[in-house]
Amino acid sequence: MLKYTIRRLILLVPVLAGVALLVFTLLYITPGDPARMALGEDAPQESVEQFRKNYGLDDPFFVQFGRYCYKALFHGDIGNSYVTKSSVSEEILTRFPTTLKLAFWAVVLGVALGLPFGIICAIRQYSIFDSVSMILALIGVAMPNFWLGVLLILLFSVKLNWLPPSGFTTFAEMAMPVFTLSGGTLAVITRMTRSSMLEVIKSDYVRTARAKGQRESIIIWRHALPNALIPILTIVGMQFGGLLSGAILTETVFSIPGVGRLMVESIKMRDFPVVQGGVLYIALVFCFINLVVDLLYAGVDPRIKAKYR
Amino acid sequence: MLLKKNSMLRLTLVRLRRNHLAMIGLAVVLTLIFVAVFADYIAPFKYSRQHLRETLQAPNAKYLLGTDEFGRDVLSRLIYGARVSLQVGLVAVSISLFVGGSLGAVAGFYGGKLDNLIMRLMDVQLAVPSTLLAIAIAAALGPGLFNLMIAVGISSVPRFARLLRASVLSVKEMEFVEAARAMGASDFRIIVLHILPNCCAPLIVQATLSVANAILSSASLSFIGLGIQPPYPEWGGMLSSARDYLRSSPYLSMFPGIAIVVTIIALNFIGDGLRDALDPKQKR
Amino acid sequence: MADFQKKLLDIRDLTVQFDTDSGVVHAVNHLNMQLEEGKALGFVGETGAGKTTTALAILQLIQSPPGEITSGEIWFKGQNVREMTEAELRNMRGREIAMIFQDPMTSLNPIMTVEEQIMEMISLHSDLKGSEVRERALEMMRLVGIRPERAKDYPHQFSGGMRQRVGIAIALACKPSLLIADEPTTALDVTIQAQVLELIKDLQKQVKTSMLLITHDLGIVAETCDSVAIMYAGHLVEYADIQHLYGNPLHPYTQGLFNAVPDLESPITEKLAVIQGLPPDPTNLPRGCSFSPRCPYAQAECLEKPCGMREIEPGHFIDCYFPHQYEGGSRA
Repeated sequence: MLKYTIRRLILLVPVLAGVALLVFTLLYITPGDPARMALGEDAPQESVEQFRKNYGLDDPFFVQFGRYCYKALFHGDIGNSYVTKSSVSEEILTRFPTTLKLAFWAVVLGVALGLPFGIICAIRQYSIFDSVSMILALIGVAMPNFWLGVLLILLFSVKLNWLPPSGFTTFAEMAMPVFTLSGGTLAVITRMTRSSMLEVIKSDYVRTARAKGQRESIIIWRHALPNALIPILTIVGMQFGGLLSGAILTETVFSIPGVGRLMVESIKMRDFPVVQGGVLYIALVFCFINLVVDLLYAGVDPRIKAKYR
Repeated sequence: MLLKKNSMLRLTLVRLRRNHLAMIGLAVVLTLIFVAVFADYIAPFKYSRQHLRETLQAPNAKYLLGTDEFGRDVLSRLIYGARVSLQVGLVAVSISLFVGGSLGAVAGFYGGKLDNLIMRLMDVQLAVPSTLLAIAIAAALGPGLFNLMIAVGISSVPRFARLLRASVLSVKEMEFVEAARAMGASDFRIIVLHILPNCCAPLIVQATLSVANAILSSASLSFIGLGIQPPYPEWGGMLSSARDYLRSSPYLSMFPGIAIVVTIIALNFIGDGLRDALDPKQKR
Repeated sequence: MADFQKKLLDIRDLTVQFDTDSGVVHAVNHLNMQLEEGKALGFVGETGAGKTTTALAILQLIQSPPGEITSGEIWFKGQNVREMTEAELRNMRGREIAMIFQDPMTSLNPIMTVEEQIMEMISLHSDLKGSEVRERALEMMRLVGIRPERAKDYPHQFSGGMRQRVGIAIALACKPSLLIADEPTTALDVTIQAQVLELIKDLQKQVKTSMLLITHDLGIVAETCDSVAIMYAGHLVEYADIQHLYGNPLHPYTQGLFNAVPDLESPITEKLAVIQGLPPDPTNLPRGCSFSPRCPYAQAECLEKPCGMREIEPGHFIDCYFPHQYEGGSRA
């Protein structure tokens, strides 16, 4: 297990380097002169040239990239915002906890509702509960999460006046954003759990358990469920990526002070270091979560564990 | 081989026709395509035409779905929006298919270091969530329909690369490939004429589902201000401007959303139907 | 009444149907079969003849949509299985009737150790607790020839033959009265088949359980069973003890089966004998005798109405109007 972990960590390094290269390249090809963007449209030409010399903006691509990596790795410095002039890392890190909180609760809600719903749908296939759930899941997957947010605000803030349409501190404020963000994930988890359970319930080893005379409830709980959950774990991990990008939209709709909204405003103001900095940090978190999911998967499925013993 | 394609095609169509949901989806999408192509004749007004004395009107006889803050007919904008969405969907997926598919086919066919390299590149791209990547690329390239297509297109490349690679790997081992090689066919010829036609099935399914994804992505990007710029109508962009008028004109926030959801569901029905129809394990 | 209490298993007029997209599949048709205590019955037929369905019906494990038992009674130790309550069925399964399944790869839970899977059977049907359960499980493993160090391994770590041994250990753990072995060696390599078969035979005698051995291989039946029932299109066509059936097979289908077994002494140039035609479409069975379309001796009566089982000689039953003397010689 330890060997597997170390191996995966080592494999992570080139991937992260690749992401950094990707982000840096995007910044590099963005139209517009970074010096001018930083100093302002009216800045005199000499200051612009001086700026370019100071920051080595005329150096070859890979030299600049090397510098970028060095500063990022050892100083956590990935540039400054064109707008606020402060460190991009600082801007992002102060807002990251909010975004993570949003994504976290969205996952929790998705799993807490999706798993039981999926299981019940599988056990009671073709029932009304199953049909209704599947229709809702179908819509949930097709609905853009920002639209769901707007609809919820329309219903609960504008028409009913029960919940506030913005902010993220109290439970009332958090309810709608979390639900909005979790919508797609909830739908996917419900469907996946249902199909995974259905497959497992029809499997031969469940039949063997029944032939042993085991009770149905124990069969579901101890034989079917653990086997069905293994693929769901991967799904949940993959969903996290969608949640992190979805948070961008949700934060915009509900005016939540997280990394997502920061990125959207930066897009409007053409503050590219912040935008790409956000991309970098989110990608990092995503990689890390994928790693954790992979490790959990290996820990849980003896067939994988055995490969790396 | 042509004969085989004919009968497989027929079998697939027969199976597909039996799937009612897929047929409904197909009907919806065909209608959408029709509307998009003939938008100029179908839409009651031009999408940019402003009627400044009739702004923010609720649905009525003249403007069937109401007007927006500039007095533009919502229905017409929805219709032209269909054209935009479909354009983005088709072009973006074509990009993903072509680029991703080529990479995957080459990786699967040649194997070894080339395969490794290409797959590592795909892993790097997959380390960034696809919508996020689309945002990043669109932000870097700047606004505009074309840039939007590229951004969304690139973000789906790994999915197709992996798919093609897996297909190619499984087909590569089959004997007719050896036979072609024994005849002296070049690599390119083998890939294009022999291997690729047999990878079609999962590709078609994925392409259909990717169009749905692309439309969703494009709506999301337009919602946050990237991609399509006003006055061009895009469903996501329309929802974004509608937010400011949530209290006074809630209908503005309903119709574009419904359009998106209906389109995506229809495409999903078709995609799922195709997947079931093309599944060799199906007994009928 | 007293008559079928002597028999361990008495299946009467069993009919099982499956509702599928292509029509109603008649898997088992008015099957009548008995098994006496302490005996081993070979249940022979082609794939799709309905043998596994019969076995599952005995345990009431037919998936209810789409399958359904539409008629018949299954008497086990004097009780009608079809009328048992859920609790009684659960009690019967594993303790009284145990089953060894055909595919050992998929019949074992991939994320439970083999020890745990054997222990589950023991905990369900005995009063043993804690470490006693584990000890009994290890004992069973030893009995089937699995080293105790492998107790905490998972099914995928075993070879096919070893996995099947685990299946056997599970089935016999609670000394059932009836062991149903559903093609236990079909999924295994030929070299392993003999070993596993030996094991089953030995254990059956040791534990003194009656056995219903389902197979398509006449050779296996000859080695392990006391009597044999030939199944075709969902019902029995011939039934007798080993000596009589192998010595004097009378039903044309049975004869066809024997003919199809290649003979080491026949010249190489001779073509392999096959039974003409194909098994009937289970959604559309023939009106008369189900074998009549393929039978070389079929006559008008055969095509009109099925015959039903008749006792040709004592203990030798056959479902045929016109049994022919077998020309292939005795296969006893």
